[in-house]
Amino acid sequence: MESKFPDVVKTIFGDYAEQRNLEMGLQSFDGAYFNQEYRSSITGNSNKLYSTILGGIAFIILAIAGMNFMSLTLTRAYRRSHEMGIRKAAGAQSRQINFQIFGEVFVTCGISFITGLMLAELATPFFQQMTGKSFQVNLWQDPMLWLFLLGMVLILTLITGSYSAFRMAHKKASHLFSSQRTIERIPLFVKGLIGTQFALAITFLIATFTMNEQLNYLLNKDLGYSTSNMITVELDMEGDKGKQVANLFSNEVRRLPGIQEVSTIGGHYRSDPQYVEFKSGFGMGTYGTSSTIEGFDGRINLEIVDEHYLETMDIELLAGRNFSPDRPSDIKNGLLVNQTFVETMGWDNPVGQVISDKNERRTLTLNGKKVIGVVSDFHFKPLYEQLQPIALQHINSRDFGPPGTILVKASPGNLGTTITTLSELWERVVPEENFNYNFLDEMVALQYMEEQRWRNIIQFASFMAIALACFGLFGLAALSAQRRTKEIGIRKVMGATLTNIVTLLSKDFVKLVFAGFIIAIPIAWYAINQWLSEFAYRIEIGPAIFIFAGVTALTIALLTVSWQSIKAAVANPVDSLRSE
Amino acid sequence: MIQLKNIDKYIDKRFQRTFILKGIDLNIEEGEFVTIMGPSGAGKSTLLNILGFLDDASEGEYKFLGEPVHNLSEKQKSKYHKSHIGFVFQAYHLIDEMTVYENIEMPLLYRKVSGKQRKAMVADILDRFNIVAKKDLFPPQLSGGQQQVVGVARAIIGSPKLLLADEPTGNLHSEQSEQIMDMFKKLNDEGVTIIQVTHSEKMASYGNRIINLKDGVPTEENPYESE
Repeated sequence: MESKFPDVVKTIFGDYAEQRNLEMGLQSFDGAYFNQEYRSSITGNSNKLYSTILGGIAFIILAIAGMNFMSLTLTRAYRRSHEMGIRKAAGAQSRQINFQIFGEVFVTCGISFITGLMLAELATPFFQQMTGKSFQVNLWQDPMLWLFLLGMVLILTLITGSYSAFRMAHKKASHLFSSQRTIERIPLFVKGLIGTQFALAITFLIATFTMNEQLNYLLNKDLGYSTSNMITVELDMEGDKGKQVANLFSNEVRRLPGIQEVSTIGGHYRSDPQYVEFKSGFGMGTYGTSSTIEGFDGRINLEIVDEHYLETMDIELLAGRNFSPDRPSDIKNGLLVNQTFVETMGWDNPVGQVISDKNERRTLTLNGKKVIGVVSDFHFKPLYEQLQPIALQHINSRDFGPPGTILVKASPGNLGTTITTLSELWERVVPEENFNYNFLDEMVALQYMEEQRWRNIIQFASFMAIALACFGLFGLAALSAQRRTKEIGIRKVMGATLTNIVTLLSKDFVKLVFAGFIIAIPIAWYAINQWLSEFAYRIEIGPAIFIFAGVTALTIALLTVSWQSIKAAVANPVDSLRSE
Repeated sequence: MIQLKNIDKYIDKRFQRTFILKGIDLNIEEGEFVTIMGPSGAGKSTLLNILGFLDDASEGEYKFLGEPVHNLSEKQKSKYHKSHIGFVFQAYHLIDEMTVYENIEMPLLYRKVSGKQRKAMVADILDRFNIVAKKDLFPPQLSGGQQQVVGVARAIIGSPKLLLADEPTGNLHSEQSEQIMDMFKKLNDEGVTIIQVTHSEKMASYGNRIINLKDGVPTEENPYESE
């Protein structure tokens, strides 16, 4: 069947097919969802990378929890070493000790597994909202998932249990009894685990802060046109009816109070999820392109506008003149171009230049068009891309078909009333059609929906990571304070102040968080640069974000630890030094 | 130096007040070597803790060098505590993770003594107590007697006016005990006021005054004989 496709293409598209190398092929449903080369709009499309990243985040969170569990068991192990000593003295073999240790870990993992299942079920709507995807956890019908999760529990048990089992089983019973075990401070291994946890948490934090800042930048950058108080009214009618409605409606609107300017344009400005997915904005500058202009190899975007467009969008006219109904020849053959266009063509005197297009027969050919004015640059594409040349043609220069959008610039304040008035007017003009409208600033924001979604996910992940790391830290601080009660008592009797004691107890942990911070810097640096490289316009990554993330993590960690430290420091030394 | 007037210490527990100390009147002059004796639970340690600012009396007046302690703020108390009082414990209470040197140096850290001066002071003390060779060892590596020597060294490094010792020889055998008591005697001769708690008549005999406590009340008679 595919052998007939070239002919089909040729009959439909003619020469254009050859120029643009158009091809036609079949795509199987299987795998279409993840296919990045040919994105299917039927099955929907997603980059497999995203699933990988999401899985990676889940894995990191799980790893942090695992490390936590491990470090807590290890630190507690010194208390249990006495018990293990007794067991060994009573004749327990390494295998039996191991069995006990792994058994305990397995039970804990099992309980959290079941709790996790319940939480997953409960939290599904929340995650659906956050990721913007709808999915269903169908645990009962998916044996593979079951096996996978059970495997996870087993692997977790093995990994988290192994180190303490190893330590316990290989120590001499006499050593487990000996008073020297009190000398053990936090084992180096545990320190490493805490450091790693904080490294990961701080990486997430840095990512969150960067994403926030970049999003703010994207949403607040001056685009070269005004977005506030702009209402876009959708026109979706065929043929002459579209034109008539557009005329009638825009003329009526212009007379309404609270309306500053109205413009009818050819393009379809829509908050269409597909535009967003393909990162092509909301439809500005997508009316057509021309890649056959003499003197320029690249492609030039076209926008079909009327004489009110510049005024409505607040785009500045730098040289020449705007379209005007008084000059029909301008409307017929005139062209407004932006600065980048002028620079691309290398014109010194742009106004009056005549464009020659190699492809004369195209509907949107620019051949013979004369530049009548130059406008300032504006970002008609999302900020993933650099400024590009664009040419504005008048909507009446030829029969373009029905206009796509009416742009209404309202006076500031009371947009709600304006919308009501507009919708009532619409009701009178075309009662049989729906009144669909959007706000331009919202559509601009919607371009970065994907980024906002990811920001939310990463934000949640960093929250989880910090919370988990702090749970672990809290437990460790408690154990450490408990173990050092006597020392704290002695120091207090020797004249140590509250501050001395809190510093003493927090110092080690602060060092660990700091080490985590140092590790996080290069990882985060790489990751956020990777992410930012998608944008042509991006924030400069200065040290501020890193420092801010580090200080945030440190503050949270300090608060966590100081709770225990202060509790230990204010205790009366008489109690801890009471002779045994 | 120390004036106690009608000192009470009690614990309130469910409508019942248990007295640990009751109506203690006590005057201790500078340069005295006082021994507090009494059976277990007589309140000796509690009295010592109150004298050393580690615990507050429930009622009564305590004047230290003429200053009413019960009116002092925490900060002033801590200042007095650091500069005037040294402690020796029965269980030594050395920090196991720190060397002998570091243990002795520790009180100076909280007194903001400069590093150079600290070094000199610790070296001086180590020399005086003949434990220079042990300075890099950890407490668990020492015998009980040696540990207590370190304990005493640590207590007097800040040259306190008052040395409080809670059964300093309780865990030691007689030879070691004598060594410690000789040390105390020497310090007392140098002008340090010493208050010790002990069960041993022999150790008490090193001092020049004995206070007998029984059930939180000072008594004249020998409390051990009436038991």
